[in-house]
Amino acid sequence: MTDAGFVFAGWGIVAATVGGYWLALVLRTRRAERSRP
Amino acid sequence: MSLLRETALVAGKDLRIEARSRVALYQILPFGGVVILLFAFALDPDRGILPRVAPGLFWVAVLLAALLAVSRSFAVEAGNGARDGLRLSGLDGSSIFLGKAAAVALELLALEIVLGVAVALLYDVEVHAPVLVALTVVTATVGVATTGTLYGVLAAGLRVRETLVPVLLLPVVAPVMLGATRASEAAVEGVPSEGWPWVALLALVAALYTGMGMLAFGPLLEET
Amino acid sequence: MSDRLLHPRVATGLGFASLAALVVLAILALDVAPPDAVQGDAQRLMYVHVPTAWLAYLAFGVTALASALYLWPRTRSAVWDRLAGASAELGVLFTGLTLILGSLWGRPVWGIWWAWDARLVSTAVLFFLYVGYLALRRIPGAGREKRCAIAALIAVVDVPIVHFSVEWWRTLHQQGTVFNQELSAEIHGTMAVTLWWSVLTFTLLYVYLLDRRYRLASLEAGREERELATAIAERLAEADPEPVEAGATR
Repeated sequence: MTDAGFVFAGWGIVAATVGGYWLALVLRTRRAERSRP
Repeated sequence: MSLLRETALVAGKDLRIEARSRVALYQILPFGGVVILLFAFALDPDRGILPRVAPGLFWVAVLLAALLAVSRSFAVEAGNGARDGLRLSGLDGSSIFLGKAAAVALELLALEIVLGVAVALLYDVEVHAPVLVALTVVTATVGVATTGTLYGVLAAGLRVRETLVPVLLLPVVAPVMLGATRASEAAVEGVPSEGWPWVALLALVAALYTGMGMLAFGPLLEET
Repeated sequence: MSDRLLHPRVATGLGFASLAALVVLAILALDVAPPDAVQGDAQRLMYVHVPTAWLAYLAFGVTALASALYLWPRTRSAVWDRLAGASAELGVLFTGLTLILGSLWGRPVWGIWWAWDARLVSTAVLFFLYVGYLALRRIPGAGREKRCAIAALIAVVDVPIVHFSVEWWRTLHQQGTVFNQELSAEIHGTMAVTLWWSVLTFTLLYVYLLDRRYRLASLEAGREERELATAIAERLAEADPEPVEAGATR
């Protein structure tokens, strides 16, 4: 893998992980808010 | 009662239970022995690696055995409301901590003597600097026993105790592993001067976790 | 307002600000900043690796502080417990990322995926300490908050000990570790600006995510309480199906 490959892999992993975590938070929050009276 | 008397009382109780049940003798010690054997299977004795890695393997075996010893230390109080009895006994949390940790430490020391001889014979290791070895063994054992007892009480009432304590304890005793192995290596290689700084680190860690245990054990026991 | 850390408008604003800052960072780090004289383009990983490492330790610090505040009787409150848990979850996330990014950087630059120096080993131990803490948090029962708080404090004492002992043991470079190298005086101009921007960006992101996670924890704690109350009410209704009239005896 070229250097650029490592760089994009790294940045991609950060974006995917942080984005995925944020999305999970949003979805779980919506679910929790819906069960509020 | 004074701290020392209470500590001796609790340690005596645990050791007497061990004397009668012989769990450390018939289960934990053989476990340590088998681990030492398995390492030899894993590492091919003919390649000459064993003497070089002997100190590290010894301490890994001790650490694994310590997990069992700590687990046992709290298992003896799991039934018949024994832990409630301990809470209501009026004994100070620090004394109970010191007593249980001392019992575990003494059991581990006995184990280490036997395993140490086994490793020296089986892995063909010559040990110089016996004073260094003795102090390494004592400080490392106190460090592991106190930290283990602290996590043991933290997990005492929980059903997942058996799988929880190892994952909590091992990262925290990593420095003890490191220091004990390096000091032991220094003793084996005959350069004790390189080992003493590590013993100092081990002593520091032992003192630190003894202190933390004395503070936290009582409150944690209340919650179990 | 103990069910969230930030005012809703502030939180939303912070979210957008973080996103914008991240876009700017990507442009700076991947395009504007020059490649390093020695490391080449691989150096661009530093613009994410350094901030995630910073967050790993910041998050743990917050967990430890919140745990201490929980244990101190005068300040004891569920707020600190929830904050500790939220920060720890972010901590695991960023510690994991730090390790992966470090590895991805190390391969092209050092030629190896891993090295046994103080910084890396301490971060790996930190990861396991976090994971253990989160495992502990999942266990319900009385005294959960106190257990977790004490575990966090034991762990925070351990981190510098591990770092110190491993550093004593071995280092890969004479001059210190990756972190020191990247923040040394030799970095000038665009690269330095980008690096500081990356730390700022990720710190904003951390605060935003922390508030969101804390908010979720509050909502779920509320839901648990309601579910418990509902279950109790249902059970009582089962046991007493016929309404008792006023004045009647059983």
